[in-house]
Amino acid sequence: MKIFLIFLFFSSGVYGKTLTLRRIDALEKKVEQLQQRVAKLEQKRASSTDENSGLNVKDLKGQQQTSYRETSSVSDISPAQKEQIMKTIQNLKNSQKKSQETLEKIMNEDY
Amino acid sequence: MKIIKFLALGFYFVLFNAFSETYEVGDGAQYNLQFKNQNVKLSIYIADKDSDSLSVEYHFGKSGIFALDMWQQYKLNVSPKGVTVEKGFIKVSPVNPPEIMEKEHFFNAQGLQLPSFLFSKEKNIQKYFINKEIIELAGASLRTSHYQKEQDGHVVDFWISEEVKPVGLVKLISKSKKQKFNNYQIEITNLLKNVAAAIDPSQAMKMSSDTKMKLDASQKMSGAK
Repeated sequence: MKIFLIFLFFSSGVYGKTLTLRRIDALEKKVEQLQQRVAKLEQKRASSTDENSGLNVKDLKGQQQTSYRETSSVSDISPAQKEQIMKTIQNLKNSQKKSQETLEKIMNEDY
Repeated sequence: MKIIKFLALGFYFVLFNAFSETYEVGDGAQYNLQFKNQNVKLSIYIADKDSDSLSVEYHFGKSGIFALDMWQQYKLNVSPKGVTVEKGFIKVSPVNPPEIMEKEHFFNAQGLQLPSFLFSKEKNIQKYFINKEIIELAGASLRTSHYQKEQDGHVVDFWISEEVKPVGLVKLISKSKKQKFNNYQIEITNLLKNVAAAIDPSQAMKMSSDTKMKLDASQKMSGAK
């Protein structure tokens, strides 16, 4: 009977120890999985901020930095747009000149 | 005027780990510089580069009735031994020509010199490392390294991030009980691209007596002379 009790005592101890080792193994696997997930998330985050780190990028398109540029909307006009505006102004001037000439011609005809 | 005097000094720092990176001319970053109750826009960008040197330009801008526009440009020699300031130029207004700075105007005698830590190799500033921190600024979440350096009661906390190349600086808080001009804060607002340099060194003239007087006065204020 005594021998049986001693056997039971030791066998339960060995079983308990094996159980503990299994739990440690399972926990280690979980930790490993979590570490892999964290690494993946960090990699994903890094790649999404590589372009401009989430910060706005102001492209000055070869212009100098000035305090005027900070407040004026003129700075947003590209050289091509500026050229277009100048062309429109020139066309307007030409049109006005023609109108004036036509008006003068009509006036002269009356006399 | 005081802000001009203040800004004329000590801002030739930048380019964290400048040694190993390839930078594009025109790339940089813009900051909000808070000094006393004034806010100034500080832009830092690469003005020029060649195989062994780098030119960095700073623009200090303030809009409003008393608008401020001032540029400084420093030509830096970059070698394995370190970085040295070779030349300095200043342009005090859009209508003034660039002027050549004398070496005595490069430095601010009191307190910490910003180049002593910001313009350093990463390993050289590791001893000042405090912590890895996430900084939320300008709508962005930036992973930074926080450093702190102290000298004679002048404490500078600065946060550096690889994500804001080429300048690297995200935020800086300078505090000093002894020198009031060393109390200021800098925070990034956005990155810059394709900025044209305002200073053409080949056009630079000898410094005018007026500019020299202002710079001398600012150095006197800081105790450099």
